[in-house]
Amino acid sequence: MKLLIILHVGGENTPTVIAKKQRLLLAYAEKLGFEADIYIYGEDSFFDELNKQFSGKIFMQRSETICANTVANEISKFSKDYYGMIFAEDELSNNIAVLLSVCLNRDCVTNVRRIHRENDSIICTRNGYNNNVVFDYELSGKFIISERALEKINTVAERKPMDACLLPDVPNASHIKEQKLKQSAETRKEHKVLIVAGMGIKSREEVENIKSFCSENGFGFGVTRPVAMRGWAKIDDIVGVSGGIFAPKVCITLGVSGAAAFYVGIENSDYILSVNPNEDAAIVSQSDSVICDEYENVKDRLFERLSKYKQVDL
Amino acid sequence: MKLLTCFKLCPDTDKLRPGDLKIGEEMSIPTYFLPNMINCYDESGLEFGIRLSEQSESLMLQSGTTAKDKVYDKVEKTAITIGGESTEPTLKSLMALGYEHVVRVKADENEICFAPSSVAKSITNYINEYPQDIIIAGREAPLGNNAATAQLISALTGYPLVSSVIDIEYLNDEELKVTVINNGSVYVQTVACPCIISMGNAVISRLRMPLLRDRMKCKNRTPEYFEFQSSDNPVFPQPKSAELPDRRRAGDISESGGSEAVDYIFASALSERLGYL
Repeated sequence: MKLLIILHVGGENTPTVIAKKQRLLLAYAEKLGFEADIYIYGEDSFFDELNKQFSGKIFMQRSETICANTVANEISKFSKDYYGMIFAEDELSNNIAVLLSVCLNRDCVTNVRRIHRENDSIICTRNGYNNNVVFDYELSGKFIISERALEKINTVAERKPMDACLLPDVPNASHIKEQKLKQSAETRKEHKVLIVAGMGIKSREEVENIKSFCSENGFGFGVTRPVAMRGWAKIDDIVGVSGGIFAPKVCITLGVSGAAAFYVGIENSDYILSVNPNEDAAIVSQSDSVICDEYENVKDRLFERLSKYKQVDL
Repeated sequence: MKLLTCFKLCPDTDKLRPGDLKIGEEMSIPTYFLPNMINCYDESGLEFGIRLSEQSESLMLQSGTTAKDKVYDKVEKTAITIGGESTEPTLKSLMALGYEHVVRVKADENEICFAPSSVAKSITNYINEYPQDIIIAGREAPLGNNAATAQLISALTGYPLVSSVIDIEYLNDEELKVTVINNGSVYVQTVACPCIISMGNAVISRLRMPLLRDRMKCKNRTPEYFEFQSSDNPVFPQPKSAELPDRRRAGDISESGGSEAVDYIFASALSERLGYL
């Protein structure tokens, strides 16, 4: 029985990023006792670079317009014999997974964070109630899974010679009359230090100061959703269920209360330091160290000490 | 042009404190003590519905065309939700904000939490009975966080899905201009209707407040009701088990504050960790 692993190349999903994801998902396939093939779709400018970093059977298909329906339709043409499909996290993965599950009449679980096998069943773990509850789902037949921040495992999949198969381009979606690139994605950096500003930061200027400090020192920067909704930071800066999920070595939260919907974005950090004046805030018990004080009383000394550990671009 | 915005009222889980949640029998998780709010993505969708309507009317006025000309047609807005009576005040507000139709599909919250296929089936039934040109739905909502409703409606109706939309503009009676995010890149698409818009982290995130005058005007109006229908073919399985995650870490609170606390944290943990990076 085989799995099909689906990856999307383009934007911040560079070949290097998806090669890393491929290795993780191949390792999962091996752990679950499946062989696996790869399907990669996306921007053609990346395709030449793909050859060097992948292993095993790979189907590649160029896709110009951004449309989940057309990609789902293409995958449905050759995927019926695969016992399971795992979609690597990206903007369209949940969408295509759900569309395919209806098309192929298979059980589907989205936003999966952990997968393991129990006898003949696949058990998927995912969060619900905005990250406040963890659910297990049992899949006992053919399945489709889309992952989100899938837990890393120690297994390394056996490397095989690459056997690439270029499929005809995904047809352009007929409902998209025109598509123009407005802004290219910035290269995704895996920052080792992440600083997150919450609603405890009392002005837009302060949030911008924190962002500038992070930028000057090579640290990652993020905000909680309410800060972005106030217009004090970009939507792209949101950390949590509705934004990015990170796993830095050190995460420093400033004025963050620690709602579960936010915490999912930083819970894989090796070490969390929080600055919050409220000892009862949820973030206190979820941090390794806490400074119970107003941010203003701490920032100058904190930034002075942090700046000595400036990070070069990784 | 007809527009249907789907929305969900959900408990404000950001108000939860440690120990508030408990898992009961059959994985029931009471949230009755939390205030309700419109799901954040749906809230953007509801506001965009109003803006699209305003844009269409403005273009009609500017061009001197009338609804009969069908170049710029007035957008007729419907808001639909699935839930209990607790949704009624929100439906009243939407009437006051100019939604011509507000519809409640009567269902128990526990019935729909893990049943996105049934939610999508009920909305699709409504669309089949009252055809629509634009359907807006948030990309994900608690409590299930399945990220599936818009996608399932697309699969069931055959309408194409426009994903991760952050901005929408009315162009004419047949087309919209949408801004979408795709793996960090931002694209602008001109899309033909009918289509389903899956609302992402939109630029417009708040629904405006209705005026008291407008509330008074529709105080005697009642929502329309529609029948809930379970899906014969649910592709989403029911969860097998549920647990509350234990996220506790050391929670070591520094005894002092200010610069002294910073120095203590650096000496006890941070210097060593940062030194390795």
